[in-house]
Amino acid sequence: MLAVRNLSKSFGSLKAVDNISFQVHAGEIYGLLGPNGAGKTTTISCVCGLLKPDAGGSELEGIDLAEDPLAFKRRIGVVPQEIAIYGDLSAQENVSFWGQLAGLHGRDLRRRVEDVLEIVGLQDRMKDRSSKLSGGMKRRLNLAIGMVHNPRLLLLDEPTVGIDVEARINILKVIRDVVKSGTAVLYTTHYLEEAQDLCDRIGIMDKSCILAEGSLDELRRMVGEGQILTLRGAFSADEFRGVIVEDGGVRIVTLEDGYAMLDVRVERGEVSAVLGRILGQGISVDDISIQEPSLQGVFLKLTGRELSE
Amino acid sequence: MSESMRRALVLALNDLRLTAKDRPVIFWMIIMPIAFVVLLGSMNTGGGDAPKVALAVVDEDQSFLSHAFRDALSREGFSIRDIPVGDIDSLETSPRSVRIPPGFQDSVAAACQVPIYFHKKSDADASYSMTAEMHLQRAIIQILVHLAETAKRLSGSDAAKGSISEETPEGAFHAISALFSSDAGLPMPIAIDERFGRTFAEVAAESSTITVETETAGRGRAVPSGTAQSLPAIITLFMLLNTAIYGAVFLTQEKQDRVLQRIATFPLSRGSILAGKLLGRTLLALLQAAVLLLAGRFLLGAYLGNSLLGLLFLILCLALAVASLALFWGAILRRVEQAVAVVMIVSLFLGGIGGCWWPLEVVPAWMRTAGHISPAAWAMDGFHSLISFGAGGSAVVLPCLILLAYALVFALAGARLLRFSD
Ligand SMILES: Nc1ncnc2c1ncn2[C@@H]1O[C@H](COP(=O)(O)OP(=O)(O)OP(=O)(O)O)[C@@H](O)[C@H]1O
Ligand SMILES: [Mg+2]
Repeated sequence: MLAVRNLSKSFGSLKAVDNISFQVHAGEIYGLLGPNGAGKTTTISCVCGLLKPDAGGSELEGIDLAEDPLAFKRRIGVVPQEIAIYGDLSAQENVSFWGQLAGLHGRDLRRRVEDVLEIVGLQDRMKDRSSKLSGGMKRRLNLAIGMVHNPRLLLLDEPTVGIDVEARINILKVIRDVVKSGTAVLYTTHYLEEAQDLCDRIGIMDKSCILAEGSLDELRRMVGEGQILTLRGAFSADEFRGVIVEDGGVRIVTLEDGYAMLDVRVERGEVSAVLGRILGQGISVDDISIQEPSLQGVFLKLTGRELSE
Repeated sequence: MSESMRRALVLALNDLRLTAKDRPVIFWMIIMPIAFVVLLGSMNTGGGDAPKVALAVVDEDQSFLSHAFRDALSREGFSIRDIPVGDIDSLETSPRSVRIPPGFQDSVAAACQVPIYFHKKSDADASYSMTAEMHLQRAIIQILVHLAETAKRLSGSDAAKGSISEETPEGAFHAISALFSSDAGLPMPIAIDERFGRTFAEVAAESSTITVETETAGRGRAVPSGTAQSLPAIITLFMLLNTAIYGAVFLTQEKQDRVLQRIATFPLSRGSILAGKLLGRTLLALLQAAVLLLAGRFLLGAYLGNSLLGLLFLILCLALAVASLALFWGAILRRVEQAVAVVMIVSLFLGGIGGCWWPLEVVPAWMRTAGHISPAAWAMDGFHSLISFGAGGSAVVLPCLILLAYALVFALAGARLLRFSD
């Protein structure tokens, strides 16, 4: 459905998106998972035509964005990261205005406005000035606006940022329901669990590149089934390197003075063997953590960093 | 209607709705401008209630005729301050003064020319001085008319009967010269004695039958006054102010709230978005004009000239010009507070130099010329042609063309400079 090819975008000397490619299929939620500044928003902006990419492009159902932007835009709905609504208009007036802008009118418009407000659970507050709504309600309104015209592809840029659990659950449910009707969703987030729970496929994005891509299982397999061993303590990097010999079973992911992250690809019993070797050599360790393979582990292995929440 | 036109209209109507939701709009677009029309309209009305313009009078002649002249001045509505001969200090503090030289009465009686000195301080209010000169002329004409009439009655001649009821200054002068000419058989020189004084007083008392309306200024045209000045001035000023301020504020607000950016993700071309924004502002300007035209016509009974078509076309061109200005301001300014401050000041300035505060007919020629960098000046030229100078619709062609040129320039600049996102 959506094909993004070799997309690059720089701001001055800063490469925000560097030659990324991915596809989103109908009825699928594709997640772009990455930390702040990874280039997620820049990617979305290029795909919805707000930014002109330096290279590469996007195609939706055979329509090239650069060649026929209006036809492309008719098929997409965008939910920006920053809430973009008219605070002086009511929720209903907002959805209605944006619906008209998307080309709806008459009875279609009225029905869709009602439906979409009900879907996001704002029907009771639809007459209130939007600026008076709570943060979570504004988020839901922000989402409703992107969906009012039943787009083929929904671009969601961190739609759950900064809201409480209940509102988040509501939003995620809305997205799951939308996808059932065959809509494709491109979803960016920096929440691991969201990507893990919601997305059918995930692209892990860091420093303007997509490092790996696939379903959760594929990603896990890709980086191995090993466990992640993280150590903190009063040791130097050199000291540590003297103790650990990288072989098929152990790989150093990150190593700094006082911080080491190891990928241990062997059976469960081997982790204690590796630990025993380190502690036996008199390396001073204050804190040890062992993580089962998960998306977090995948992210750690790929980027060498934890994804801060 | 094409899809893109419909979407542009959606944008335009949304801007109007946002304006309507702003509560103070009733004050800014309706109450305040109407109050201004009424207030300014009554302030610069010349007619019946003559203005209380301060005038110092130095009477060096102290004769019957000089006193009569002073009375005529006072009837013209001057607030007169008599200054004794030689009191230079008092004279210097007066913004305007008139000096009646010694021998004034004798010269007049002998039909010799005699000057009356009018002096205005350089920093005196120009519009007041204009009015003062006008009323001074009226007083002089009155005196001459009364003199002639008195002389005529005393001589028993009815040579120029009725001819002094002319209502223009030229007519009055003709009447006077006819009376004094030899054919009229008036006694020359006039003997100003007691009998003359009595008759003169009678004539002066009857003189309400003789009205001399004269208002000359600028290039010899009348100075627009009353609602003929205040209504066009306030229409122009408030179209400029409200359209530019609301227009710029909404655009900066939309940038700030990122809704402009969101609009750009919808299926509209950049051209449609700009057209919608321009249309919204034009409609707002037209709405402002409509409010004031209707209020002026039906509430205040203002005269709107003979060419309704010309008037409407002029207003349309002005609306396009101010809408483009609003788009331009919205494009180059980033923050709402900035937009309010900058646009308010610039609009008031453009209105001022364009003749919205006082008629450009009373300012020096160079100011009038310089003022025409403001679109308001062209609009006011058009309005005055139609309303004050009785011109037909064709008189607005030049102002309209220039306003359209403004519209084009600022719309293009705004379209070029507007960024949907930072
Ligand atoms: N308009 C811009 N001008 C200059 N630099 C920009 C602009 N937009 C983004 N950047 C830079 O590009 C990089 C990627 O930004 P982007 O907003 O795409 O990240 P992100 O993944 O969406 O991050 P976040 O999770 O914080 O939203 C950042 O370094 C950012 O500072
Ligand atoms: Mg972002």
